[in-house]
Order: sequence, then C-alpha cells, then structure tokens
Amino acid sequence: MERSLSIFIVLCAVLAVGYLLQKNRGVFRKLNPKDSQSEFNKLLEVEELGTVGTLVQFSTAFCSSCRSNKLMLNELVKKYPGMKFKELDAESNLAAINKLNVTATPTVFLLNKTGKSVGKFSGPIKKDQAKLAVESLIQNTL
Amino acid sequence: MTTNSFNPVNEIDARGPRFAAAITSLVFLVVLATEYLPLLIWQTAVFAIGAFTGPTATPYAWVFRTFVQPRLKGEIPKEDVRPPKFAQLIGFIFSTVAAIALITDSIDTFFIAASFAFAAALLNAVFKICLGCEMYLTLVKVREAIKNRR
Repeated sequence: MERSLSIFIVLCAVLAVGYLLQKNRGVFRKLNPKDSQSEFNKLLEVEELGTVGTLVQFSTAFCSSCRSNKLMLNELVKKYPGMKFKELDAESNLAAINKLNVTATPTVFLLNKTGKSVGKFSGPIKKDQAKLAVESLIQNTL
Repeated sequence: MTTNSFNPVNEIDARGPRFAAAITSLVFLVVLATEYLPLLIWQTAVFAIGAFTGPTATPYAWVFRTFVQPRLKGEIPKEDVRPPKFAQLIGFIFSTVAAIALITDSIDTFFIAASFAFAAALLNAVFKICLGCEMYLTLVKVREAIKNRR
C-alpha cells in the first residue's frame, strides 16, 4: 500500500513538473533593458548582424530540439528582409552563456539592429511566438 | 570569436526514441511496483545497447521499425542521433545504480534511482522533454567550475 502510494506520488509529481515545463517552453520573454551588446559583439562579427535584427541560438550537440528550432528559424528569417539567424555552440562559449544566464539549450536571443538583446526564448520555439516577436521588433514595439 | 560546429553525424526518426521512452516508462513502473530484478537487468541492458551502440540498435527500436513506423503517416521528423544516445547513457547510469541497490537490498536507493529513470522516460514519452539533454549544459558548467577550482 505504502509502495503504491509512493509510486502514485512520483507519477503525479512527474506529470505536474512536465506540464509546467511544457507550458513555459518556447515562450517569448522580453528582457529588462540591460547592455548585452558588448557580450554579443564578442560572439558575432558585425556582418553577422541583421540590419533589422538577429536571432541567435545557443545549442549543444546533445540538444534534442535545437535542430528543429534551427530549421524553423532559418526559414522564418528568410521571410523578413534584414533579419538574420546565427547558431552558436554553448559549450564553446561558457563565459558568455554564464553572463547571459543561459541554463538550457536551445536558448534563442532576439537582438535588435545594434546587437542588443530585446528578448529570449528557452526550449523548442512555437512558430507563432517567433513570428510575433520578429514582427514586434520590426514594428519597433519591443 | 567562436563559431558553431554542428555537423549531424547521423539522423534518425524522432518518433522512435519517444516510442522507446513510452515502453521504458512502463517497464520502470512495473519494476517500481514489483522490484522484479530480471526486468530491471533487461532494461539496463537495453540502455547499454542504446548508449554504446546507438538508440536504433535496441530491441525497442526494432519493434518501432517493424510494427509502428510502417503504420505512421506524414513527413518523418528527423533528429540528430546524439541527444537520444546521450539520454540512453543517463538512463543506463540510473538503471545500473537501481540494479546494484536492489541486489544489495538498499531499497531506498533503488526506489530513488528507479524513480529518476521512470521520471526521465515519462517526461520524454508524454511531453517530449529529454531530461538527459536538458541536464547536459548544467553538467558542462559543473565540470568547468571544478576544472577552474583546481
């Protein structure tokens, strides 16, 4: 009886944690205005920045949703002139990811034309969320 | 300046590991309820095959390819083989700890280790969350912190 109860508690806890994680994954979050520009200047060449904005994804080799994110974002930026997408290896940029508070991959930053981050996504991104964020950047509403 | 170096070695049907995770979570549910050692050893062996040979070499992958995949329709979602292989390694570690604990009669350790493995498999099967993959960056950070302290 006690064992069954323990298993039931574990099952409920896993489902609750999974639900909460799933709910918050891939959702766009605006970032508090802070100067992240210098950090991204170290990571990206000037020509890698889009004239409107840039999506920068931190990935690792063992990240299950990095590939699908990358494919989707690569397609998305093609539809918006002046937008660029760049993927960076989190493992080779540990100092930067610590400063940028990246705790899991994929984490995607949306940079404005000056290379300052205006928002970020963590986890597999929902396409409509990415589209909305890019359009908000273009319309200067972020 | 560092750039990325992502060259997928091999790609697999992304639905396969999820199917395997569903079976794995059922196996662990039974193991947790019954403490049946042969089943736990079987699952540990499956993890070992997945971790050291590849997730497509496991018996669960064979079942998926033979009976499930032919019945699925639509475009095949692909994923890099490395994340599920890494997840199998994490599963292998927890499963081995659980098996040793069960053999040595450390029931609390068995329950904790098997519950972790069960949780990871269930999160993958139900929510597509690869716990091993999520942990990877944290493990890298911890490794770096230890290296810097020396």
